[in-house]
Amino acid sequence: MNAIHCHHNTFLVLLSYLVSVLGSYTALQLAIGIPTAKNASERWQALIGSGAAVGGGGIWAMHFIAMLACQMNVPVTYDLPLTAASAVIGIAACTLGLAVASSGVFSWGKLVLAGVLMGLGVAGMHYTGMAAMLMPAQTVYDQNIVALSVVIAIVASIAALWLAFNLRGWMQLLGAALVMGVAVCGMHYTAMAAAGFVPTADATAVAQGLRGESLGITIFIVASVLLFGTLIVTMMRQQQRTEIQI
Amino acid sequence: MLKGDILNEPYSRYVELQIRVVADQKESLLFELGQIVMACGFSLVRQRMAESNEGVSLNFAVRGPETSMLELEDRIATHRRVRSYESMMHEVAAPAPPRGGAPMPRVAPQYTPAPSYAPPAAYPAPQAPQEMPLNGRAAEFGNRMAAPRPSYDRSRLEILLPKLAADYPQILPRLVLLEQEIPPAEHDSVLRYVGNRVGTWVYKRDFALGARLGLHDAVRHIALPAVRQLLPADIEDDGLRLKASPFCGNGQHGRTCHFFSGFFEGLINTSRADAPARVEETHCRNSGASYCVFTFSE
Repeated sequence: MNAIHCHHNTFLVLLSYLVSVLGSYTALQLAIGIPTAKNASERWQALIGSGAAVGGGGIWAMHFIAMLACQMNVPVTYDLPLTAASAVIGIAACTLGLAVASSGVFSWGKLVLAGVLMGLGVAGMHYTGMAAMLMPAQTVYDQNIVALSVVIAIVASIAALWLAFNLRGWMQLLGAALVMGVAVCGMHYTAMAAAGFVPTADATAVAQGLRGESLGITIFIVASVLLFGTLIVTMMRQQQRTEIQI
Repeated sequence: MLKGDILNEPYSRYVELQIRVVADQKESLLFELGQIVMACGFSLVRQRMAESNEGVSLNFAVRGPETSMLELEDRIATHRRVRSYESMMHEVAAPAPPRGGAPMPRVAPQYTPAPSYAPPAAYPAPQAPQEMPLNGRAAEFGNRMAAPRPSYDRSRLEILLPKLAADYPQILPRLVLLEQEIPPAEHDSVLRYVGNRVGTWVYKRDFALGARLGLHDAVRHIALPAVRQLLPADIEDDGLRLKASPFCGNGQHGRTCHFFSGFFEGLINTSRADAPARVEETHCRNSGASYCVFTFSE
């Protein structure tokens, strides 16, 4: 039986990077405000908000736009519980990573730990999302490339967190978001290069899953929320900035 | 618009300003500069024009309110036809003193012009009896400062600080005027205090977001970009260096950049949760160094 090949739609690939950067930007806008939180409640709100933005927007939405970009000559749907679980993994790991990075005085130990958590969150989301694919084919991986994809996710996450928490100015947010986009997309497309799809005769499961059209609507909603969130946070920051008394 | 008093007070002292400019051509030079003089509320007292090897030299004296002096100097010094500019100021009695009686004569502080035009290092022979050479004025200024003086009215600072916030980052001319207004004995404490308040405000406004940084990272990622909004700066092994502090060369002695010491302390210490950092100016251009250098310690 011939292997199934994934041909990527260039426009959707670019869109996936854009959504990843947008999610990271929104998340980092919230995350860099965590150290200035006045109480535990404010801190947790900012943590969960930023974790959800990067895990749900920057990683999860990017992953499924990239999966829509992957055009295979077999029908593909997605198992709903596993798809939801992949989002939860991404959000939880990123929230934890941001909590570590934003606590106390900045140090390299915290940065590496936070980067590892976020990198594993990106990878965990991706491979759970891949496991959610329902299709008449079996996915097999090249273990070396899988390892490389995880390393890319971790290293780029560390770089993005360093930019976000250690720098000030435009590089702090824009630079960090662009690098975080590289972390997520670099990990994803490297991992896709590690995947091979071997056709099977079993086509019964395909009909039970979430179809691409439904996924597209969900991703649209997530992206809209991210854009709206970015706008709100930016306006609030601007307002706070003008109110600071000398 | 910048006025000659840090708080833009409505009642102004009257000053007479001796100005010498050099231009390429004399045609309508006096007319064009005279329009500026009148626009700034000054009147022309006398003038003399001569040609020399360097071009056309126009010496003239104007009289008017001190609050408009900086604007006048700025407009003349940056006029398209003016190649070099020098000035000397002395105070005169106001035509109608606002609070009864003429103001006490004083040696007026010398304005340090923007780097774009030549500093008034040397001025031709005095023309009026009250004039004295710059070094003589500095000596008298020093003698007067040696006498006991009342402490500086800090409530004025609370009026000044919001103005600094509104003008930020164009605050250095106003700070130089403040330096000239306060007694030298209080330069360190007052300017450091103002610097601290400004630095704290700038930190909260522009640098608060992100992790709390150690001293080394805070100097590199907060203090340096913050001060670069005000003037050129870099970091060398021995500390943070300023290349053109406006507090140097104003007739004071010793280290004079107290504002920046306070500014850095405000920036750094607001960003840190642990022990406060101490900022010290170890070298100053006012004392002959090439740069003003600030070191940071815990």
